[in-house]
Amino acid sequence: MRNLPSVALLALFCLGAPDLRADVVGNVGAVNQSAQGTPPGGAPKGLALGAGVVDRERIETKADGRAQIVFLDKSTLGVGANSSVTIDRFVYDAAAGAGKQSLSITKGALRFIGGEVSHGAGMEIKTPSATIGVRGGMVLVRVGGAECGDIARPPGGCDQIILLNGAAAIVTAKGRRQVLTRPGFGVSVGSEGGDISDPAPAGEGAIEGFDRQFASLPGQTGGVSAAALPNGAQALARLGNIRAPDRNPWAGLGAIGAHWGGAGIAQSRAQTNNQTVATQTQQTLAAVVAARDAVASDHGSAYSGIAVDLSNPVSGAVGALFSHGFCVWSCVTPTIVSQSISGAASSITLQATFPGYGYFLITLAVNAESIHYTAGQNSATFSGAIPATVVYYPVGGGAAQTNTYNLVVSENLNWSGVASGNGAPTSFSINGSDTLNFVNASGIVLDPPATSTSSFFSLPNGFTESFSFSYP
Amino acid sequence: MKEKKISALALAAWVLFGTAGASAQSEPNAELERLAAHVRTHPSDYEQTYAYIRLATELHDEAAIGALERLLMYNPELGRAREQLGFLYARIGAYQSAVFNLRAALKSPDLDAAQKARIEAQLPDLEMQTKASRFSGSLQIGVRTQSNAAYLPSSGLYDVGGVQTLGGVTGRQSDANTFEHAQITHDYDLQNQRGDVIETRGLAYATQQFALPQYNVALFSVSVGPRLGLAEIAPGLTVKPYVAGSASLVGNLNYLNTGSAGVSLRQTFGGRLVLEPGFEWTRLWVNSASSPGSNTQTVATIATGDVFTGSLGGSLRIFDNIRLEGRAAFSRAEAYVATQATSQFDVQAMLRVEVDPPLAEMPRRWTIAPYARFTQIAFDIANPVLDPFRARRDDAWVYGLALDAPITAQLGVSGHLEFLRNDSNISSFKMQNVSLTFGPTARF
Repeated sequence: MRNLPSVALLALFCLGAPDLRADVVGNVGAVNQSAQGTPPGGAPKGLALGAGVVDRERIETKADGRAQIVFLDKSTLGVGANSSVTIDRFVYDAAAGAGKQSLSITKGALRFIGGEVSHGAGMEIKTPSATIGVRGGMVLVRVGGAECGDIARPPGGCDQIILLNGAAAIVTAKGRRQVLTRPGFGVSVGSEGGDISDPAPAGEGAIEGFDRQFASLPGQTGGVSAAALPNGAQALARLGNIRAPDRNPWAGLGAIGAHWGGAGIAQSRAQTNNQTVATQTQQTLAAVVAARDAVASDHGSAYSGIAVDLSNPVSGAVGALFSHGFCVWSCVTPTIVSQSISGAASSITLQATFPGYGYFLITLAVNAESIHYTAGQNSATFSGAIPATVVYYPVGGGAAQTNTYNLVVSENLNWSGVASGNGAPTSFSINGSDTLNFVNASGIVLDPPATSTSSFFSLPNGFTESFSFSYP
Repeated sequence: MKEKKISALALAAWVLFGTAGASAQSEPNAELERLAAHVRTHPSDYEQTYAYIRLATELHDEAAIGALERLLMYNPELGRAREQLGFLYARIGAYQSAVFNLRAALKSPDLDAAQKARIEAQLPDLEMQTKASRFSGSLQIGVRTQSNAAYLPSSGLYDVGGVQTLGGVTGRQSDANTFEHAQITHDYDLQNQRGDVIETRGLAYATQQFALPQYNVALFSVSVGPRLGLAEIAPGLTVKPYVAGSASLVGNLNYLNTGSAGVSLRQTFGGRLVLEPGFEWTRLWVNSASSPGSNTQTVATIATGDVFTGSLGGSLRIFDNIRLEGRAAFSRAEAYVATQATSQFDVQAMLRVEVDPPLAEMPRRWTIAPYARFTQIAFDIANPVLDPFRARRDDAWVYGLALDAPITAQLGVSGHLEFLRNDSNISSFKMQNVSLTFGPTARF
């Protein structure tokens, strides 16, 4: 029986000891004296680096004191100079990664960097004027400061709350509410909790002011011995000599996209031009061939090539072809240089001279067998390719430049006009709705560049050309 | 039954990807917990503390900030730690704190000139984030070569009225050109809690062909609209209604003008994934005076009319230095000319790999980015000019490799090599083009 009190004491100790261990909610990560902790029901003691702190412990600092407490859930509490912060409650279930965390600050400043508990909804900070629900975040809190934002400063000053990350829901002692959701924004709460400012950017001065509250003073080492301080070489070696990602990085697809946009426009235009060349250039030439064929044949396909009246080129077929000019730097009427006929194939060479620039020789080769004509009709079909060779002779005597086209035709031709004695038309007109384009050949570098946008040949839109022929 | 199938599929996907992802993540998280417990009780074990900071940084855990603040309480002169802290504050959007710490790092005797140059390269952009009016831009001039600048068909064949024939222009017309490319960005921050910003974007792009001046291009566009925060609906969600306009010239003549209105949503998921769905209406005006009238103008893929586009853009940060970005869009072009009405599908993707440059003095990361694009254009009806019985359909593939190489904080070089292959059921448009673009860049 004598031992009964001892047994009871032992039992009490055994029951109580686990509770005491469970009450350790974190450790002192850094401390500059003077800073002390007062556990519940205990006496104040100086904080020591690495020492445990317990639930409901009050941390107090003087003007040269700072402390950082690291909690079990990886959150950290920075306690500024001249501050008093109490760990009201810390419960953490590591397996669930959740719990409850409550701090209260009655004077000074704190910096809370969230951990697992605040990633849920279980973290709050109480000031004399307000309660701050911290969600997934990082906040700076100062009690009784001079900064009051857009509210009137009460005698007790204002509590300042700045959000650095996450969200903070603030409810003042008198029920006024604000929610901070944007990093760098803050509010001021009147010391009585009666007024709260609108959220606004905290400003550079406020951030610097807070930092001074937590930074070590000259000569202070956060609790480590001066001989064992972390050094720059080690920091560089361990953190790496890395470059941070750019805040405004290279535009990536946006940068390439500008080139795509420009190329898409050029491609759309180029494919139109290419198709234009392929389809539209030779209506007139085909008509010329058809007309000539009408003289030589009363039906079926042609057996003779096209001939041109050399004595009257302007009014002849080729002259008509260029009735609107051969346009490069201006529009000129070409002259016929030569022609040759071999069977149904004709070759006509023209010269277009541009004083001061040089001249072009244009050779058109037409195979009249492609024309299917029946005497007495006023229409014919033509399909095939007409090679056209363009040679540019620069005025300065530079090397001649040659480009060859295949002018593709697949057209129905219609005409009307005066018939000759054998029934063939001696003059006729062609009605069309297209512009005759012979797009600038890329193989020829014009110097200076052409001024005509549709060089080399051009006819107006919706043209009606009348051709007159003289036959041998 | 269908619902059950979908549920089964979802379950299978979760088992395959969700659990795999979870187990892949649990390992570093467990290591982080181990390190956290160790450094909590052994705060002066710097080796473990740095390991903790590195891993927490990699996992985007803000515990890294607490650990760095702690180290700086021990030694406020730790420039590298201060720099790291500044960039971590920047990452969470606390720009004032970021600027404060980076400025302090610049004063540290620990850092050499090259390291300070890296901070100085980033600092102006971060300082700008603390201001209401933010103006930035980039400029590139350079040279591009193209194997097929005239976009001629590879075969030399054209479909004309349903007849396949040799074309009027033969051979590939390769060419080179100079170009200028400027992008200007202005954000006006309304300084409210939602983070509302009026965004203005401008683009100017011009090319000068050496041999094919008719394909000189000048393109100007501008867009403006507010980006409004919708955090009340979902954290990280913003919406942006906007209007835009553009004008372009080809061969020094006005060719295409556009006016647009659209709206896009942007949702950020945990800083790693950004999705941006959008819808846009665009009115196109093709200036027919830019070319002599011709029924072959109807073969152009760009036509006067209305275009309605639904799109989904996205960006996934796989690692700190690797990001996948992409965009998929479907466009319906209600051209005024029936033969030019199309449906268009466009998918773009780019893998951006940021690497350290070869010299320590170069302050910014370089980016190497392979990319690809697929575009399908399907015309509603056949165009008799091409083929009266076949509606045109083009499948275009683009493969490329881009390099952005900043040399100094403001100047660098950038370029890309690209292969384009357009498969079309119309001979006239089957073509290939290889282009190389390169030139110096400037940013401000």
